[in-house]
Amino acid sequence: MLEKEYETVKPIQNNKLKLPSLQNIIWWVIVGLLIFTVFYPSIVLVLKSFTTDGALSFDNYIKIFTDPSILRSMTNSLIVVVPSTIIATILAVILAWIVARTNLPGKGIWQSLLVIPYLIPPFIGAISWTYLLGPVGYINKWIMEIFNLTEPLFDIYSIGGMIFVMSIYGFAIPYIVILPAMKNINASIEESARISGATTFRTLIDITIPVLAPAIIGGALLLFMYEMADFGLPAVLGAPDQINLMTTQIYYTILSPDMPNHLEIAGAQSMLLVLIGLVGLWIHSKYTKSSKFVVVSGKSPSAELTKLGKWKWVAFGFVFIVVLLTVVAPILAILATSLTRVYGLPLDGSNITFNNFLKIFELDYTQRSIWNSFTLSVIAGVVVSFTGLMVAYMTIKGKARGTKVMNALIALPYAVPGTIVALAMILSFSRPIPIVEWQLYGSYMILLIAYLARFMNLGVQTLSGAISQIDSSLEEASRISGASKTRAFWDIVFPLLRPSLYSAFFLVMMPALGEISLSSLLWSVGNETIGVSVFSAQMEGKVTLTAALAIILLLFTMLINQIVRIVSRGKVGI
Amino acid sequence: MNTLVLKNITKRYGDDIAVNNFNAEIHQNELITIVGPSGCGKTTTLRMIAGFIDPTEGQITLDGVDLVNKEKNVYTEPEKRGIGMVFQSYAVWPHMNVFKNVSYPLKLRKVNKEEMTRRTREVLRLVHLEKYENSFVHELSGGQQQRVALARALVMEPRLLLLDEPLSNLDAALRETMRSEIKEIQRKTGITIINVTHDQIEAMTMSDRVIIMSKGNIVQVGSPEEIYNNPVNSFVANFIGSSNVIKATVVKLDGEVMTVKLLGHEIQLPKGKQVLNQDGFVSVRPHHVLIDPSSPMKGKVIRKLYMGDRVEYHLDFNGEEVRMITDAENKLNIDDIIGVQIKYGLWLDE
Repeated sequence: MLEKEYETVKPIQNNKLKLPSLQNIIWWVIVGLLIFTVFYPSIVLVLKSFTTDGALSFDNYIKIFTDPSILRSMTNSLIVVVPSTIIATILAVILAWIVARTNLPGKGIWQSLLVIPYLIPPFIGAISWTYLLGPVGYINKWIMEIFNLTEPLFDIYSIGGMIFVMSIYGFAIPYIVILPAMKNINASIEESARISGATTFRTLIDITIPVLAPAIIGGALLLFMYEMADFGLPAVLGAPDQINLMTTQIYYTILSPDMPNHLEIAGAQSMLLVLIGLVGLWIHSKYTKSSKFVVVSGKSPSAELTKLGKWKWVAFGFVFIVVLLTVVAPILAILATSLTRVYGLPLDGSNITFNNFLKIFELDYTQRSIWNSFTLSVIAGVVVSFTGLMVAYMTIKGKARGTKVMNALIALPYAVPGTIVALAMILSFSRPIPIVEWQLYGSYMILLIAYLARFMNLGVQTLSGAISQIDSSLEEASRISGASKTRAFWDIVFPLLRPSLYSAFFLVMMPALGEISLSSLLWSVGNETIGVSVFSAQMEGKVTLTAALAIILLLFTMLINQIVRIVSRGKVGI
Repeated sequence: MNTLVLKNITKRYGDDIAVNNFNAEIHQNELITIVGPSGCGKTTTLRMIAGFIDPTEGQITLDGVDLVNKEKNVYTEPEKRGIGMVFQSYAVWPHMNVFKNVSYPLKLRKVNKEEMTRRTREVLRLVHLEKYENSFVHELSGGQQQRVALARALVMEPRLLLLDEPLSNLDAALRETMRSEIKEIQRKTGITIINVTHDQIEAMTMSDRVIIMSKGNIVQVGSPEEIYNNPVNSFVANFIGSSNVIKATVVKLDGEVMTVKLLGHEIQLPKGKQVLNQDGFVSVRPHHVLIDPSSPMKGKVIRKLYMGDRVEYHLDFNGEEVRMITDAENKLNIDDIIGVQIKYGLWLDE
């Protein structure tokens, strides 16, 4: 009897003579795609940066360190990015402390309002501030009227303007990094300072901030790299007076066909920017992985909130001003502009119109751009989340070969500025691919490939996080019950990961919809994106149309964010 | 002389009472332990003494000075109280080395450098950490971190030291060492210590006096011996030394002796203020249940827990379970019916 039962169980035994499994096939397809979309373009970019007139040389590097306008762009980048990183980080520390550790009333509302800047694409933020502090901006005009000035007081199209806008939009990144650390800090760490004799303020300076140093420095470095890589904001604010940062300088070099070897020189500039990014990344990983700051956390009582007392109004005012500057004023400015008939005149009965929105659906290229951005981000979302699932699963659970190299290839296009990814694509695919004769450059496909390469990291990161949360015993329990590896994956792991899969999809869709740095170089007639439409409308001075497009983009972004929050039950999204 | 006086201390969170009318006088050089199950209000009480929680009502006085007086609206910030405290999670600051951690309270008090170094080294020697001055938290074991926390609490020579379950994160062997070391440090420094724990053995072995709390109330205060020998109610009897608490009725009063009926049989106990036919409980320590084949009190063995030198048997008396601890030489088997005698029991009204 017993033996018979054993017999029936036996067929589950693995059959070793099998064709390559589905998993292996998927693995090699992904490897192939990565070689084609990341590895090959990277090699081409590096080689081209050392090529002048078809021969190997260092001329491009000599050129970038001697050409005054390129040199100027490097110093501009540092002059703008370093102060705004510092200002934004200080802002972030203060805000995170107020929100996490004090008894400020209405903290829940502030908490949601303070992360909205993270959802606003930087170039939209920059555009909104041109409506406030541009030559005929609302605030400038208002100040001119009050003080009877003939010249506008502020000029947003300047180095100072860039620092200002970068600071008030940038704080969201370190804030998001610092806030959880600030919330989770072991209460007794601070209480032991209090009982030792330190005041609340002294505790903050001596204990809280130093203990949070890894989070603060990590957040600041992330912001530094993000701002160095950003194209949209400096492109909007730098264009009128030709103030270029490194990214915009690369963009203009690419678009200067008269300059001999212009793409190769842009390649050399890119390598320098990549180097800065790599150094930042290295310092970041060194700091955040240091074990020195790991604190033993027993169960400890939840931290008592600092009672602000008479300082309550100072804190309230501070948070209020930040929200006003980063959320309320800019969004109102865009909204007002999108509803004006003639920009520069006040928004009253005779000047109000809905035509700007109607125009979006009348003009061919704006219509197309909305359709293109929509399809591109949906396809990218689907492909990235599924590929991300496979890569993350095989990296964490399986023992596939070369996962380290693969993950590095996936992280690379997300870590370097989009402008550089676009340049690598141009250099690699501007001519038809040999044998098959596919012309990628100037097609919809090049945008899709670039989006996939750029956003793949988001999918892998989201799903890696989710998979490492699933205890391996869940899968093992299914294996011991008789499920094959594949069966256990589909029955146990996949259902548990489904919410994260949805999150990854929307997390890719959100930045893809408002993408600008790749699209601005890779678009072609018929293949415009929303970002390109907004950008070119802004450059052509179609102010009210730009604002209407920006409103549509913001609405989409906020909507998707809400969906992410709902499907991930608040774990992902802002 | 009384060092710390807590008068009518009550802490309410909305309608929930965390600590209800806590009164205690803690004497100089005393090690007093507040013990009770989790949620009994012991940590809340300690944190009110430290100043991290403001009581709803009451008065806390240290050496005659009000730290808290709700009637006069007095509340002293924790940093002004001059109390030392060791936290459950040690709370050793990860960005400072051992020396800086320990000397921090002196730095805040602007003690000059020479004296700061001298006193820090002295207290590090007291906790056997003199070799670890320059180490950081991540280089220290749990026990060493604990010593850093202790040194930091002692360095400013506080009048009062608060210990918030300081031993609960340590392994059993280390816990025993630390217990005797804390006791030793107290003897050397003459400091007053209030210890909070849920571990009854820790409470019994370390303390001069024990305060037992349950559901926000003080249930009993006394020396470990008093509490063990004369628990006031079944909660204390059960919590300290895990007694059998058996339902009983007084059936006869006779001079200094009374007869009670429990488990269907009559036994004699020393008499207190009891009256005839009163219902209550009798607390019987497991080692006071003796095997006696001639006894009419018969129980069935339902569980056997072997502990090496001793064996704990669970006996069933018509549905009531009684635990018995005997020498390992007495070999009984599950389902054996045996006779037992209760050598000593204590009447409890509730």
